[in-house]
Amino acid sequence: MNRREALERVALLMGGVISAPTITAFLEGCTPGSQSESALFTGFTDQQLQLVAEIAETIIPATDTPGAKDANVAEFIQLMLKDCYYPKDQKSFLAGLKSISDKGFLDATADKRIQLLTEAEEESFQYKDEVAKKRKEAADANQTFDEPGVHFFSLMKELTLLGYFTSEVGATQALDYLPVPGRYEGCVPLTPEQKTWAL
Amino acid sequence: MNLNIKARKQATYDAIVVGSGISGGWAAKELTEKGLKVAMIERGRNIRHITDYETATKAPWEFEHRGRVTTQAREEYWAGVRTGYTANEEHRYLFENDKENPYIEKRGFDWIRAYHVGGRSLLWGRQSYRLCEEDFEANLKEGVGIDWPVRYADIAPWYDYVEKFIGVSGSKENLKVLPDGQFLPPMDMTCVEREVKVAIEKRFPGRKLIIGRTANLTQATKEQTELGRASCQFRNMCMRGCPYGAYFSTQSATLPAAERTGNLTLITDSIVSEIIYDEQQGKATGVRVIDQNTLETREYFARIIFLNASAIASAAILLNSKSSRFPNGLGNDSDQVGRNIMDHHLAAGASGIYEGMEDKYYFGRRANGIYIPRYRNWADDKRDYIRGFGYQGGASRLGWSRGTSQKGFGAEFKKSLSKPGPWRMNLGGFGEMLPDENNRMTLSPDKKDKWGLPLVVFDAAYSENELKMRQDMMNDAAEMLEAAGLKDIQPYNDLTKNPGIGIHEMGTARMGRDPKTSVLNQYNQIWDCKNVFVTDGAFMTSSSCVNPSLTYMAFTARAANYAVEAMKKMEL
Repeated sequence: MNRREALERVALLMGGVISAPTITAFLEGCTPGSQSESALFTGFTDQQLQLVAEIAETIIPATDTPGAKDANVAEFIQLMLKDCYYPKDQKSFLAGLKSISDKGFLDATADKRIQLLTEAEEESFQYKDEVAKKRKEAADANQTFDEPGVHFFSLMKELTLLGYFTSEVGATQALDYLPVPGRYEGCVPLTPEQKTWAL
Repeated sequence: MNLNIKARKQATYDAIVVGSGISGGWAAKELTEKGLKVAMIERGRNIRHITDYETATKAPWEFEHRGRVTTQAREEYWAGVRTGYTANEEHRYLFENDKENPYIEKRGFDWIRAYHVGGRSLLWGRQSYRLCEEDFEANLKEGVGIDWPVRYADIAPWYDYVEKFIGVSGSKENLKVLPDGQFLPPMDMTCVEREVKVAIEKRFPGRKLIIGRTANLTQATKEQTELGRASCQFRNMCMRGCPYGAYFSTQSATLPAAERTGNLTLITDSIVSEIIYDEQQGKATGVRVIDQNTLETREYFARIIFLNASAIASAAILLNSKSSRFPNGLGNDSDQVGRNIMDHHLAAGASGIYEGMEDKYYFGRRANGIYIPRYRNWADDKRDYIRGFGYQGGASRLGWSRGTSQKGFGAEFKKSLSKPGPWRMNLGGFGEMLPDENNRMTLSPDKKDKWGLPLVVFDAAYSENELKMRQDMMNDAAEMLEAAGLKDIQPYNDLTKNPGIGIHEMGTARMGRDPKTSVLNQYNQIWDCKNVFVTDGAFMTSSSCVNPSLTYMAFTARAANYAVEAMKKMEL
């Protein structure tokens, strides 16, 4: 069971009393790690910030609703990386960012960008499988396992989705945002215009 | 001398209530309504109803980290982060900073605290169930722990009384294992929950899937609106504090009820360090407090004292209240204070995906789930462990966050996340934990907190009985979901959790029939110091498997009624 599932289950265990954004708040982010290392990351360079913005926009592009850039997702990722992550995740994020930059992401065509991100995503899933395998081997051998930093693309995508769907434009335009429903109906027809509830 | 007498008189009340959480609020309400002048003493800051619920109406984008825990908060809330939700940015302000309030773990214990007016009544899960006849008799029948000095019939009218006031939404089911109460209209089930209910009840005769019973107003009564409470708006943001007063808390209900009598004095920022015992009079005369900000010590006096600091903190106060008569702590002749710590064990169950119902959704956010009452070791069922568990859970459609574990990105991916995902249902067990004298907390002989009070040391763990039960909690959930046609079923039994994770600490000053083996008598009075009543979770002689707060409230109201009658007869 991964952390997401564990937390969502805890939420449900508690009688479903925890709201969706609350659950989201505990997804894989803010991974505990070595707390003795001082924070490494203080902020992106202008070029890194631009690169992160372009990658985020490729993940969540503006369509009939605003995209990641409209939601200032790059600035959000910068803040999250600084405040919520330990150096090992910051390092793996910056390494992944450099790698995709070296492959010419900023100058690439839209199709080439999609290809680069598809490769990065494949890599991130392989990485997850490898880490899971090592974790299991360590557990089977009764050894402690030092969790490595999370893969660049996993973190990039997760923070892009979080930053976008909890932003004002994302929550109110790409989703249906209803702060005070006023009533509850447990079983209603799904209308064609209904979007995912933001909360 | 005259000055001293005057000062003492000013600090003297008919009753002192230590703590303002779910049971302290009830003690204050009952005692003030019966005409007593009451001082309710709270160790933390004041949280005013509505105006101090600082995050209650914030939108997701108004939280800097969108609810997530920063590395700094992770260090400060080192116990809180173990729950996976209490250290969250949206309601962290109502939980305690563990770094500033450390405790010691000989064996792991998750102690989740809320030091402010209202305590954890602002944060509770609101699930409200009665214990049943069997719960009060099981210890005696099975030779576990000690016998409760109370039976269901003794407490049933007090359950009625409490439910009417707090407002419990639920359905009448006529189940002996989960007695019905005074209910407001039940909340609705989702389409998938309705299907699963039918399937489980058909396939497993004797099992029931019902809507949760929760202390949220679905139809506020006159008594409730007169206190300024309104019906639930289905925001499901209860844990931030409710601006509608729609769920029961000290602030929404017992505090305004106590205040309108004109008999209540609320004293905040005052940590009760000990109960003052008078050797000559053979009773308690008051409490000593430390101002949490200035470190100044003060004393307050009263004829009776209600201890409602929460199970662990109340036991710590008793252990710290030493006198010639009680060298091991007030009321601790039996050496039972701090022992028999219980909680409910959870994080064992299963979830699965329901294929279909894609054309169905729901409106609003239900601050409640479904419930499957205990069926194990009930009637003819016999297992290789004793007692049982209930399930809490629910079925809802996955939201946008499912995207983080799926492959894909771009316009189509974005569009797909804008539509609700598949239905998922979870069933998570809440199991009974047996009392065991070796599960205990003590006070550290040398380590102290910043107020000079000894740190609490925990030494408790689940027993073989709980571990066996957890196998059923996991397997039964998977079996029921499978029988209801769910797919991709994922059973789980997380053995890394510590006692305390249920935030239902109980048992540290248990009631009993014999002063040699218990701390309190049948009216929650300390055996040999009868003007001290302990009515928080500490009194529980066994834990049942149902959420305990309703029971604390019922026993508090009963004890308060008894105390006032005894005072009238000059017995106290």
